[in-house]
Amino acid sequence: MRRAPAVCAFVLAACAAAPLAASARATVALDGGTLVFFSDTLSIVARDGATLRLADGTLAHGDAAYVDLKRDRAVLAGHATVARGGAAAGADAIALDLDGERVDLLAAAGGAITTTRARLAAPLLGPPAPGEIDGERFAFPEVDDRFAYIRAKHAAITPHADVRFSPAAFPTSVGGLPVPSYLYTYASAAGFGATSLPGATFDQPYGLVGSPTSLTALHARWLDGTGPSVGLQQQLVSGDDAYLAASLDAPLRGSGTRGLSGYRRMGARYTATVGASSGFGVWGANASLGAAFGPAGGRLSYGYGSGGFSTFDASLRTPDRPLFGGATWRLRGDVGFDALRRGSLLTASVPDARRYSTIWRHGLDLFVAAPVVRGPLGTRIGTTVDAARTWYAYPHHDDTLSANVFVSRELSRKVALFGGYQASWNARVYPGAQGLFFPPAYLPEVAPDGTPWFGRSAYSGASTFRDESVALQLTPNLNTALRVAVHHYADFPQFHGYGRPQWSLETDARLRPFPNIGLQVGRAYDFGWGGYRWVPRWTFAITP
Amino acid sequence: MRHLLSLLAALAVAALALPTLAQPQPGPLLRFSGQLLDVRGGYVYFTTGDAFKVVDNVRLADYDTGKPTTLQPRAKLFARAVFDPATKQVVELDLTAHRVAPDTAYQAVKAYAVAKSTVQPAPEIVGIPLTGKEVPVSFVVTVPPTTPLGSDVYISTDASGWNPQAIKLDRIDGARYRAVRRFASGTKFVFRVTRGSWNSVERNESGLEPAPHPFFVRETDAQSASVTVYSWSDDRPNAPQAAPGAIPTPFNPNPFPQGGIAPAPRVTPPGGFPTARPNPFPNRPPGG
Repeated sequence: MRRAPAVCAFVLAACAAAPLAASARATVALDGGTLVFFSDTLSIVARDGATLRLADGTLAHGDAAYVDLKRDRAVLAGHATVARGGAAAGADAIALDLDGERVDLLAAAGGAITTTRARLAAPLLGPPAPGEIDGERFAFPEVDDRFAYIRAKHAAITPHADVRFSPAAFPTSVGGLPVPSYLYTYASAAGFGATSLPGATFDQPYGLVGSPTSLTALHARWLDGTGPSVGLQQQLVSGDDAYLAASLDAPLRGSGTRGLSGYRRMGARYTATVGASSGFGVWGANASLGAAFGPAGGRLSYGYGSGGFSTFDASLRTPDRPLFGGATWRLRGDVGFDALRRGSLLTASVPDARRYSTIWRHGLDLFVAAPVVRGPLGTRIGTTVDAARTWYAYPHHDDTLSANVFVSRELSRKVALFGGYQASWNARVYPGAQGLFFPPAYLPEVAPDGTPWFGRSAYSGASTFRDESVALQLTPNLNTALRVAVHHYADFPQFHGYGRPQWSLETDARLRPFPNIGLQVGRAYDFGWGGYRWVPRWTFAITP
Repeated sequence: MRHLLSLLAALAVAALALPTLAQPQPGPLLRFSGQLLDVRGGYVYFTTGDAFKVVDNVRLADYDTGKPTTLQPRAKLFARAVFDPATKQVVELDLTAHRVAPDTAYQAVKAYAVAKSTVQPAPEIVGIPLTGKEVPVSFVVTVPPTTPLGSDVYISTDASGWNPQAIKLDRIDGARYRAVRRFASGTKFVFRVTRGSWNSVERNESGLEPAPHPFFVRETDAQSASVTVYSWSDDRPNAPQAAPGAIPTPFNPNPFPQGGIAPAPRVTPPGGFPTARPNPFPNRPPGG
């Protein structure tokens, strides 16, 4: 029953997407002896004989073809012919609009002729008049196959949306990885970037069905802790103004999760979002409305979760205002409540705990940022300070004071040093009742391994989190970067040995082993964490 | 008799007029006004880029009075060129230092212009043909002060299928990240700035999601794109910035959900969950 809302939402989204996906037929088919796709320019070059079929029956052929997916334009060169119905025309080069009617024929001796596909099919209308040669129409750029992202023999193009290659291979200098079919999405609507899948160490989508407004994709994922996972996500997109993403994530080990994420822009000032997720035996849903008042902003949000918890927030934020010397400040105020249906939000140690099933609160947050200034020894220093207090209807308040200092030093154009200090001090203050020793809300009572954490009851007062870090960054060339960072965490309390590790060493490398494929690899070691001498972590990503 | 005399007089006048009528009538003189570049080698050059042939004894006159002038043709002066349609040459230049209104359409005298080479449209007007050459593009992103110290910043583009980690940027200092990538000229894309996930994406000055940034790679030697991120979508005001849940670990990948299991910020109630723990101070009220 708990999973019902997420499952229902996913089914609804899938049902809504099905008609869209079904109607999204590829309107252009390109065949050739070899097709080479370049992801940076979004172009396809066909060689050894190219055949282009348009949805209206127009058929074009040439020795080679260049298809510009961004401009929906195709150029066929060398013994080019175009035919529609019973009529045909030939030229040295032919330029076609993929989503328009225009056809240009270029003859080396006779100049250029501009016509339309409809006119091609009706020769009785008479021959079109020669016109001036527009070189842009017949541009056939030189390409370097080393930068090719995909090789194939057939491409089915849906303009402004995607292109499906089959059979597809991802070439490298040591071979290619073949797949029977690969859907490459290039829709410019930013909603296609939205996801409702939880974060993962590695996530490689594989498109199943696409259209200008929808995409169904499988995700091969790797999750830290649980290992490999398979995800399925359905996206519905309306330009940059709205999207809806629903997903299922099924790890091979452990519990699966479901997610839903939606966004709608209403004019220039307002946006609305909805979100829901379930997994690990709990679920939650939220909705929010954001508003812009010039550079200032506000937000209303409401969330409801399993166990009967709900929360409401209304917040207003000032724009960044100048303070002095280039520093800026910003103030944020919020009011809202936390509620627990048929329960109490306070521990049973409070005599009248049952009264507090709903607790209103209000808070203020002052944020001050100093500009990045020059320091000694050629360093550059940036500082921020944040102070917040939240008052609760039940007589207590939470205080948070945090500060960040960041120092950078560029040793050369290829080598840079960074240092950082981040500290946060948090306190839950019960005036006159501090003896009850209420710990902060984010300190749980049960450790992840199921054992009770006795330190929670013993803990009182303020908690501190400190992060001291040093990093070295090498950037020998545009395609290669290496970063090594050392963190020392000095937290109090360190939760049951499962808080942040005392020391952490992180390395990140960005390289391009092949001209067309980039890799991002990260390796981190946590020392002195959870009773282990060290615990390794990986991050991995492939980029075009 | 009087009629006869009148007829003879008319015939005499007509006879006298005949030679004049028989001669070709010169067409109306054409005038073209513009700013001078130079008069040299028998040609007058205007800033329109056109050159016209000038007769040897061209008359120089004042533009306003029409009388002879002491002004000599030079750059920046304005002039009205008077053409003889018969010879298609300039027979008179009326000079002035002030801007003058056009006398006739350029098309009327276009045929008189002298061209030494084929006409090339100005690249500023029609653009430079795109050759697809590689152009280094530098992305510089200014991040908000709330950006965590160890954060990675990425650029996500539509061309990469909106991969949130498409282009990784390197840190320059506390506020800026940078990456340089090579694109073929003519490449057109839109992009957004992320911190490696669509749960952490840029927000504009008002805290709302901005439209993607469009970018077009021109036919140039180098290009840059500068973006300022005012806040991140996962900024959590009033929340501890270094809470234990910020570090997922293999044994505890999502220990204290913040943004993972919604609702994000306040899913745990103040005071913790109700438990049946014994009250260590049963006689002490919270306010006392």
